[in-house]
Amino acid sequence: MGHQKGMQAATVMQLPDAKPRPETGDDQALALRAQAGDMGAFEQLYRRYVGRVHAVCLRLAGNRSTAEECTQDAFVKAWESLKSFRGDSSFGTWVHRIAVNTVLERHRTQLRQAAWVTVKDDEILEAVPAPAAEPGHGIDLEQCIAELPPAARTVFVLFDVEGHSHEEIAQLTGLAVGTSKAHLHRARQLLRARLEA
Amino acid sequence: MNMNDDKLDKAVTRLAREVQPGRDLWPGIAARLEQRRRAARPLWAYGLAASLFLVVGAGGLWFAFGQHRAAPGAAPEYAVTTPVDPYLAQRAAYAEQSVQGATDLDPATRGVILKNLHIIEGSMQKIQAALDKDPNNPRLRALLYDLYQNESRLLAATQQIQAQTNARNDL
Repeated sequence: MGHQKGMQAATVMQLPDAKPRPETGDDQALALRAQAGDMGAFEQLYRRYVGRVHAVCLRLAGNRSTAEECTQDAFVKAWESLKSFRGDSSFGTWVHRIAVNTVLERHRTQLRQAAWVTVKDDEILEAVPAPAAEPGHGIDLEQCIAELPPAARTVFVLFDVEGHSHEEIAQLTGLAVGTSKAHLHRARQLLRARLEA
Repeated sequence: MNMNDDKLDKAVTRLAREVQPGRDLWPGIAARLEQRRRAARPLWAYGLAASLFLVVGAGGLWFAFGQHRAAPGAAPEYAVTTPVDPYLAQRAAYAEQSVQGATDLDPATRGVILKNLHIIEGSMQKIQAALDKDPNNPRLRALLYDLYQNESRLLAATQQIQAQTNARNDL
């Protein structure tokens, strides 16, 4: 599968090895310079946050090429919206939110359909063979997440990985809170079944 | 919570917080940003050109209108001496100050902008004087409105040139 290849091609950094987060003050200074048109400062911000932004794009999109496009789009949108960045939240949080919205905008149609089509999606997923690699490891879960139906994947990533509430997910995706909960339940069921396999 | 829940939760906590893309995406982003910058650059030039065009057009109309009004009877008083409207004078001073304050602009550009500004302000004063005599004249009102817009465009274009000059200096 294309997206499986994509997941493998990406360089994965586990949480304990993640780079130490840069100082927020430093980010603010870079953001201020970027606001004044300094592309070099913006590149530094990009280098700091591209891993985090790409991670969420990859998990939400489910394939590498879309994730890379969304990552690029998110940084271009961030550059264009820099004037609206007031530093109320950290730059990382701000650009992360832009990235989530960028992927969700692309999936809007799929998500709209997912408000009522769920059984069909699950049937598709169940037809996909379980991964051959050793279960329980990060990369296996990444693959399992990528293979979830779009709406279930979106809700699972936003709730369990990114820590959003169902109310926030409803706002972001346009799904009803109850539908979001149902998708999460289904996603977890499917993932547990995979991890058990 | 059963064993499987635990297993899933543990797997989620082990997920990488950062996943680097397979290739460097920055060159693509930089190219898009540069493209946008380049696309944005001519805007001020268009703004300036539009301002000049409208100023010349407004001046032409003003001249034609003045001639038309003057023909049937005696020359109108406002054609001889133009009283200075204090509000417009204050506006003009403020606008000029903001252009003079754009110190990063090269003197030639600032000179062109100021010249245009003076033409606009002068026309405004003349039309205002005419309106004082003939307050309900729709053509005069329309002309004055156009000139207000020209002035705004010119000041906006000045700000844009200043911002772009700053950005280029920062790079």
